Amino acid sequence: MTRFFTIKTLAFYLLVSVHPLLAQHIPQDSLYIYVQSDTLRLDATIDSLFSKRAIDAIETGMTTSIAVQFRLRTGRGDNLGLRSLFRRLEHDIWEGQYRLIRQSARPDTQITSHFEDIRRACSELQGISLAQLPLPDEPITLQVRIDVNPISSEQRERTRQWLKIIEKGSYLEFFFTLDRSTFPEWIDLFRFRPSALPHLLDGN
Amino acid sequence: MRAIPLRWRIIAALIGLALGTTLILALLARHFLALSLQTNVNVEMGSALTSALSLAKENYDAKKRQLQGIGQLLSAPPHRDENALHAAFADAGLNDLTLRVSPIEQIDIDLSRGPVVSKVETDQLQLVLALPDSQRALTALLSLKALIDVGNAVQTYKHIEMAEDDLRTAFLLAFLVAAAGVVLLASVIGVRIGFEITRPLNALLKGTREMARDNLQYRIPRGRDDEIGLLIESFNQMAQDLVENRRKRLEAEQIAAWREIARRLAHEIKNPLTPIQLAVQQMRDKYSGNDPAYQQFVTNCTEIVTEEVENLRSLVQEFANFARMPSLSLSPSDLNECVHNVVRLYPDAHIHLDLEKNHPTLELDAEQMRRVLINLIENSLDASGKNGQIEIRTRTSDDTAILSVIDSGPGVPLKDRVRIFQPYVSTKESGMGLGLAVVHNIIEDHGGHISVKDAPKGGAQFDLQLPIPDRTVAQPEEQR
Repeated sequence: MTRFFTIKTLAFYLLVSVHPLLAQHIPQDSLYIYVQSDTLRLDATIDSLFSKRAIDAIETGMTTSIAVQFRLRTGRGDNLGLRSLFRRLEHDIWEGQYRLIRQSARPDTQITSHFEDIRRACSELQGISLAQLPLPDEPITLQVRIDVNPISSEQRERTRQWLKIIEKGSYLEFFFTLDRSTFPEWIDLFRFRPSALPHLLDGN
Repeated sequence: MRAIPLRWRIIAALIGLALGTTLILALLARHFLALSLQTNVNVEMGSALTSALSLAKENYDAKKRQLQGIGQLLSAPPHRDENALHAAFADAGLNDLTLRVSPIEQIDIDLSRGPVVSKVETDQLQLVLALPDSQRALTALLSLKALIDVGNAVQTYKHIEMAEDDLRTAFLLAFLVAAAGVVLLASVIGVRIGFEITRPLNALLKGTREMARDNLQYRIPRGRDDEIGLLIESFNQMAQDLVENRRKRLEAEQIAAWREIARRLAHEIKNPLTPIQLAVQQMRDKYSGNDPAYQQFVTNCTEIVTEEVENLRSLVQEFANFARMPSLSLSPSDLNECVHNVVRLYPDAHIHLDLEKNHPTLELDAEQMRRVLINLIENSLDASGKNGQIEIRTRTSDDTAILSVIDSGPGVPLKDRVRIFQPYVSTKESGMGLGLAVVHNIIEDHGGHISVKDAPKGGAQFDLQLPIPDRTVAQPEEQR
């Protein structure tokens, strides 16, 4: 019986071992949710947004996509709001420059030669609008999920050509994929009642 | 403890073999896979690629500085034609580039501070400068493909390094799934082979048990053409031989018993017949009375008794003959000639002969065969009546000579076709029922066989099958 469980455990480990690359989190003391101009907003700092492996990948010039999503949910599971922050980080290793492109309705690009600027720009979130008021005055959970993927589609194609065994539709592709397009699970971040949130005046 | 059935042992052996082989292969595959990945992804390789990238960067910076220097040189007098411009780049060792001279208005780069070097199109370095005449601009594009390839290689290596664990796991999983498929297939094949081997063995086992229970009629369906099929066929043949041998033994025992009865009966009846006959004759002769009617009565009685005693004696002689059937004296004989010799004895009978030409010579006891033919013809005459038709036919089939005697009588009922050849069985009102028994014995002693069936045109057809000796050479002869 013990052996059976050992085999089962091993099989389970083998199946789920395609783990996410990063394990970022947002410390509670960096989290600040408030209301400003009828908008629910958020200030937060993401800890360990870039893992060592991700930094290594970025340093070699791999184009990295950074996605942070926030979701508001009631206790009944109703979604009250979803906010997505998508960025693309390009590193020109020849010129030693980082280009952080915000992919939104009003895209902008930040260029710097210091990775620390990039880390700060990506980790320190200020005034992120989560939802418009009014919201039902009941317990609401703020959830987050973060994905930092240093593998672009061009890079996937290059790797696929390098590893010729992983052709599209091959037998091996049942067990392995170069695509890491799946988001991690939602994580509960904070629970609050809208009426209990502080209100900030415009200009503060 | 009960032994594990052969079927399950075969299946277990095949699965065990597949599983064992697969496990060994899995271990080897895992080892070689690790080795293979290690060959591609290792510290040395990573370090070499990182160094290559550093060198590439240095090379990039050097090229950029070179372009900057050439730019400063060319933007100053004297005026140079295009050949001189090319020569200037060639002198600096920059051959893999494209030069273009265009009016300065077409250039949207600020050249007031001197030549501008920048990276364009991700894989080119561009130098733009205003030529000394201030009317034209020179654009030089230097390909960075070799350097970009180094960068891409490093990034791809990094990607593989990140995916290494997943890749190794995927390889192992893929192998395990394939191996599981192989084991499953081996199991299915094992079960099939196991059943294919043991099913006929079980049938044979059942057959031997049935035979042990004296069910000699049991036969196993063959159903296949391989060695197991041959084994089943041998078993069935053995069962058939047993049936045949038993039949012959029973017949021999029966005949022997009947002969013993006949011998004793003949002995017990024969002895008092002569005294009875003498006593009756004396009664007739010694009568001294004058009563003619009584004398006539005695005379009549004496004649009746004498006649019946003679009948009994004749009967006893038949019994004695049956009991004392001599052993065969075989010699090469012509069956057709035997037929002719016997048919000659029946000049008034309507006997039609259909004798095969070149009929082979057989090993026969001609005297006994004569008896056979006489008995069969007598039997046919009894069945067909005086005007009945009899046909005698000889044929050959493979290693058997066939003599058929066909009559136009009523035939033999199906229920009597076996027992008719037993002694003292007769479908006629007269006779002792020994004739066909004698025929049967003689034919069996010749190694042959007799059977009876309905003739095609009605009546009975007796078929005698006699073996043809190997050395027999067909002799041309026309018999009629």
